[in-house]
Amino acid sequence: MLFKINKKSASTRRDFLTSAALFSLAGCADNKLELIHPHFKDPEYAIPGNSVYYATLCTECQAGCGLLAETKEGRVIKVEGNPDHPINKGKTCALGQSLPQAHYDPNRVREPIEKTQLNDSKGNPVFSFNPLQLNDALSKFATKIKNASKILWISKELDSFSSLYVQEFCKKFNINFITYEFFNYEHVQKACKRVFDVDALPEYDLSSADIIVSFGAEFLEYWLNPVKFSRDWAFRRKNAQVFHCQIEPRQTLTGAKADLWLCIKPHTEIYFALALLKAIQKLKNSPLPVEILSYLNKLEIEDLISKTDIPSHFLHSLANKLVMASSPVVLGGGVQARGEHAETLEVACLLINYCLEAVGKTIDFSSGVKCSSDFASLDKALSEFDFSDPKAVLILSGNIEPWLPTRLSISEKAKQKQASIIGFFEILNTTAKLCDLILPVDNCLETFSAQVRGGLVTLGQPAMLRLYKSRHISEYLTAVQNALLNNQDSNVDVYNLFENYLRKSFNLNSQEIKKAQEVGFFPLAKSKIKPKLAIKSFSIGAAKDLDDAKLKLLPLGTVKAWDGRGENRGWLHELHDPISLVSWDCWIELHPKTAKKLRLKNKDYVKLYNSSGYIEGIVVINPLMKPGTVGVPLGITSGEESLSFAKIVKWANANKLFDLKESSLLASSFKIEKTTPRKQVYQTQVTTDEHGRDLIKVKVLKSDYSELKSEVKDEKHHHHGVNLYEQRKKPMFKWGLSVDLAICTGCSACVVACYAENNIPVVGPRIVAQGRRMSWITIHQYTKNLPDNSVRRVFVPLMCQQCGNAPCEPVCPVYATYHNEEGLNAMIYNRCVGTRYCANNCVYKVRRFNWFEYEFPDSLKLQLNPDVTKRGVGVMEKCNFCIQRINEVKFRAKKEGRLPRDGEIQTACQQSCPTGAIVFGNLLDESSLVSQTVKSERGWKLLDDMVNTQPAVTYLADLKFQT
Amino acid sequence: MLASFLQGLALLFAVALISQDYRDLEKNTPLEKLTGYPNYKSVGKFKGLFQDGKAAPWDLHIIDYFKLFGATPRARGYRPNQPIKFSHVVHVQKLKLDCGYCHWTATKSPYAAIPSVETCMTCHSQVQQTGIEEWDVEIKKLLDYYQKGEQIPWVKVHVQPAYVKFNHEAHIRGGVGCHECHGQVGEMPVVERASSMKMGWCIECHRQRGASIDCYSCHY
Repeated sequence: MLFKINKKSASTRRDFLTSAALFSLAGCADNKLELIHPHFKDPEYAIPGNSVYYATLCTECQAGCGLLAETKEGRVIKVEGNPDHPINKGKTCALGQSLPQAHYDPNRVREPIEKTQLNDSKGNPVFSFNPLQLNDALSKFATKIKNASKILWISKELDSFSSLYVQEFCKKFNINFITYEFFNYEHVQKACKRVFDVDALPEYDLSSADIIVSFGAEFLEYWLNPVKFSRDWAFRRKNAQVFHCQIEPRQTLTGAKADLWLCIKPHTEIYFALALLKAIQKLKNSPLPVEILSYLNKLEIEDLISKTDIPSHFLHSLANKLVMASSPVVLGGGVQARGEHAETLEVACLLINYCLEAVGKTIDFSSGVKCSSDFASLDKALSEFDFSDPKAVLILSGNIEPWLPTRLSISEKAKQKQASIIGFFEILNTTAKLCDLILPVDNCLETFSAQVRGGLVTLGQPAMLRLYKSRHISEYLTAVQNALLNNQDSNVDVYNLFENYLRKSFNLNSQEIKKAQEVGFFPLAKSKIKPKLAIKSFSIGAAKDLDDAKLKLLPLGTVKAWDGRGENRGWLHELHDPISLVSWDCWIELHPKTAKKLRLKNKDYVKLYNSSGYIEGIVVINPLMKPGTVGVPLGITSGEESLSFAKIVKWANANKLFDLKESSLLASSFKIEKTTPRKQVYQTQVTTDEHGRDLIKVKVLKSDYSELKSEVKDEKHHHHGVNLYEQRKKPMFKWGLSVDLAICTGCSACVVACYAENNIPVVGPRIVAQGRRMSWITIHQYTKNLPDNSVRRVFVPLMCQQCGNAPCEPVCPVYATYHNEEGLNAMIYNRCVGTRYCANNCVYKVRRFNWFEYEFPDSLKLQLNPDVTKRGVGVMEKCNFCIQRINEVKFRAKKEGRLPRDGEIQTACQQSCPTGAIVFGNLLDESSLVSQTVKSERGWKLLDDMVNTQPAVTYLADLKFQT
Repeated sequence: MLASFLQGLALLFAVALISQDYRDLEKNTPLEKLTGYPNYKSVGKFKGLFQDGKAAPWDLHIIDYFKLFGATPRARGYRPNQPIKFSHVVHVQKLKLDCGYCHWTATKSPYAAIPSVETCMTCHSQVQQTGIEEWDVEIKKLLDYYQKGEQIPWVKVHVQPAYVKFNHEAHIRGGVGCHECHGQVGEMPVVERASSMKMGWCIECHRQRGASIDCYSCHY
């Protein structure tokens, strides 16, 4: 028989296994020939393997935070706040943390590019982008400037160094230079001019404030100077020394931290402010100008307050609190309050501050910070600009196009253009693609910059060499100027230009410049301004657009997108918005009542459109917003096809839905329609409900913090002291972390910092929707109903809890996860075989599995931290309290013959946290900060009373005053 | 029957390859070609499969000798051809250079960096004619790299996987000499891997010296 197996001659199962094992074992080893490329010449100051830090400046927004850029082997791997810098004191926001991704952006413009138009077979225009030599590009630029009949330059707000050269250039060649920012503070500046005759933005000092009233100002997210405000606010907040009231139509992250959150009808903030002004004036009898007094007398408080939908007793109690306070401060409007009365609202707020004698105490004008954005002249210049004139030149710098309202849209106007458009860009974004000639500019990590803010000049310097053939904007302009004016001797190197700028503007000699660059900043002599009331009268027109029946569109700012400036950064896309919990995608927020009226459910896909634009997104039901409003997040993405990360998601730029008039953001009537649903929902947390379990603690205070101290601690620990493992005999360290939920604002800087430090891959929307996001720390959101009938959103940063009694450890078949001597729940990647038992057994669901080999785009590989393994497919990973940093400091201490000092080891999340909510340290050291914080009256360990995991992470309960 | 026949064939094939592999390994050491160097002793020479300290059985570097499938780069005795036939014997024994003169970062950083081209040129800008033709050819190569402004693409001998963090500075400060891992490099005309650098081999020394054997000391 052919198929009969001869038992004697056939190889046994055992033989087969042996051969299989031999083959597979042989396959295990890798066979790559590795090369070492040593330096051609050793750098003077850098030792390979050791970090070099450069003090530089963050130019992402205008706040002027100082940074330390960490470089290894000549490439930037991480940015941290500069600990000596008075504005941010070592802290950063999520946008600042994502700076390395802007620097290594895969879509950087690598050389000068010329756009040429061709026609395809159907006659449609097709554009091709051709690289140019730098000299050719400069000569083309020069000829266009020379022959131009009219030149208009529209720019985002530039740093002080660039703007000096740009303005000089514009003066010489008669160029109309206009600055514009989507999140601008024009109305604040105009109000300051009107009220105090000061041409500057106010600087608020929240570190001494004991009551903060904010009309929607998102001062913990992106308003004016968020990192400084967060730090100052947290300083008071920790011990419940500040009462914070937020008045806005939809709860922002800042509103979620408020003691009293008042839901106001959209664009009626001005009425509340006027009523408050009147009430305070009555109580304080402040000397306001006669005309204002008579105007206020004409108004009825009840009349005003009835327009806002807020019960009037809140107004009176708020007015009383403000008058009783020793240093109150009233902040103006945020993005949601930018209605037709935006400027008047600021005027009213400044007047309230004046009545409360806060001006000079908590509000200061002496640093003379200005907002150069000017929408009115942009509107005028762009409407008048003749695109059919072949000699006209439009110069663009910054991603302006997504910020412009549809009626001013350059792409629409430029369709049949004759005029030429020249652009200075870092990446090939929507605006860059409109240009005929694109000149690549440096990222702030590879060039010099300077920012004058808060009584300081912060200096930026390159942390690494240029990646591509880019130049600083001042280099281009000086070269062109030299060519046109036949100057031969002038030097166009950026360092010389920067030195000239410092010499000219601040009279520094070269020694002072060197010293300032080392430190990163130098102080400016302050001229103390004592503002006097200059306003004589003000009034508001009749109420328009207060019709209740009409749905109103609310612009929402987010920490991940701001106005859309981080649209090509994977880290920011992958970050979920802490309120809607949506990542990658766009969303539309509706109150449950509004949703019912519109017959929409949670997670429906809808299209929202009006005459000027449209967005598509998932419906998110949000009970903490005004019924009758529809919230849309600004600037999520332009869906630009030339951008690697932006193109993954569809067009979702809500900026276009709004029309800008002066400082107001108003939308015309719009419609919502259901569309074909997408296959997946890019929402990361299934529910924000605790399902009846008291997981997250919130302490409601009646009078002050001392009442917590007398409170008897509720000991619900059933299994106290039960431990399956042998205890270590004499450990030196037990690492612990504490997270103060009272000051965690959900700003997500920690999440981005963790991505940057630990080489965490960006996995994209499809995998996020499957719940396979790789972030080691996530901001969870829980909604709680409090005993004082208020609803509280609590943000809980959740990382591995490093349990003392860890459920993940005993289930690992290969001992890849175990408890180490220092109390860490170690995860050893090379041992892991990927059974995923640990993740299944983890109570907190913080373990992440590499389902795929996640590849980084080539240029982003340069950002990877060489101290951390890049995990491959089939390996489990999780937070390890930044063990690379612990080891580094431990070794440094050992070298110096001492123990690590408290605070010397900082985890990446702790280092970036603007409020200092995260504290890391040695729990065995009685004097360490973390041992003190874990003993706090508010401390509790997540889920410990239920499952006895004995985590090393202690959460401190959220705080709120009873209202 | 067909299946079992194939299995047997594969086994035979594998065994044949393995033995071929050993012979290759011996052949790959072109000692004959490199005669003329003084004082060469067979230090770090391949001595057999099982002579690697008290490593655990699964840590033995038997796998590394399957040349067809696996990596000779991870095996003791791995001796790749370098772009320049640089001789440590000449530089260490004859010229009495200290390791730290060229590999100066070893005491200052986790990496013991390979010297830059300029470091070589501090001496070789003067030393260009030695009178030994074989040496002059190699010096000429260095000068070419220098003139072109290029880096020398050295082949890594002591390859560590990415998930191991080895800190040179810490080991040197802890009193571990260079030779304890790298062998007597000064006696090798062509640098070869003197130890398997398997985990068992590391752990043995860590145990002896009372250093930490926590996984997190090296793997993160």
